[in-house]
Amino acid sequence: MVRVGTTPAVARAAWYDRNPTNYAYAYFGIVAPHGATQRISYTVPSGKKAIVELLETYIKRVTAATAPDTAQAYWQGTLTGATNLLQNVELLSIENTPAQGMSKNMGATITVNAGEFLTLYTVDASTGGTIRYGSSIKLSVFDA
Amino acid sequence: MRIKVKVVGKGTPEDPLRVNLPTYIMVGDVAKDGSVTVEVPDDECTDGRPDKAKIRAKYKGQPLWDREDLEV
Repeated sequence: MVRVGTTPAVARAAWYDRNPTNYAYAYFGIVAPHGATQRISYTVPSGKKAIVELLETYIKRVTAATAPDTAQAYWQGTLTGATNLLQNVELLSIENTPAQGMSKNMGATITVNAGEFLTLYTVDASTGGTIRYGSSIKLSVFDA
Repeated sequence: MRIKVKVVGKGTPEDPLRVNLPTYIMVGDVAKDGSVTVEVPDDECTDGRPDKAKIRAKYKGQPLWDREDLEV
C-alpha cells in the first residue's frame, strides 16, 4: 500500500504535556493599617499560558484597633479583553477581636494568557491595631 | 532571588503601592523609607539587581514591560 500526500495531522499535546512548570507563590505578614498594596504580582511571560489551580487567602486580627474599619485581602486578574477586572477570593472584615478572622480557598481553573497578570492586594482602613494576612496561589505554566 | 527595591504608588485603589516589576512577592511590609524586600525570579536579575534586558526579553511584545523607557 502506498500513502499519498503529506504526513497526517497529529493532535497537539495537551497543556499539561507542553513543558509544564509548577509555581507556588505565598505572602504572609502582620501589618498595621495601610493603603492598597500589591503584595504579589504574577505576569505570564511571552509564549506561555498559565492555569490557576488553587487560591487561598485569610485575614486575622492580631491586635485590636483603636477604630476598626474594613480590612481586605483579594486577588485581582487583569485579563485581556475582559471589560472588568476579575476580583476573586475577596475577604472583608471589620472584626476587632484578636484571633478572629476569616479564610477562603478556591479550587480554580482560570486560564491566564501571556501579558495578563494576577495580583494580590491588601488594605486596612482601621486606625491602630494589626492584622495577619496570608495568601497563596498555585499555577501551572506551560507553552502557549 | 531576594532583593530590596523602592515601592511606587500612593496606596489608593487607583494607584496602589507596588513594585515596578512584572513578577514579585513582597516579603513582610513596606519600610518607612519606602523600600521593601521582594522575591523575584532569578532569570529577571543580574548581580542581585533587576535586569531590564532580561525582563524585556522574557515579556517580549508586552506593552507594559517590553519598552525602551522601562525603569526597574
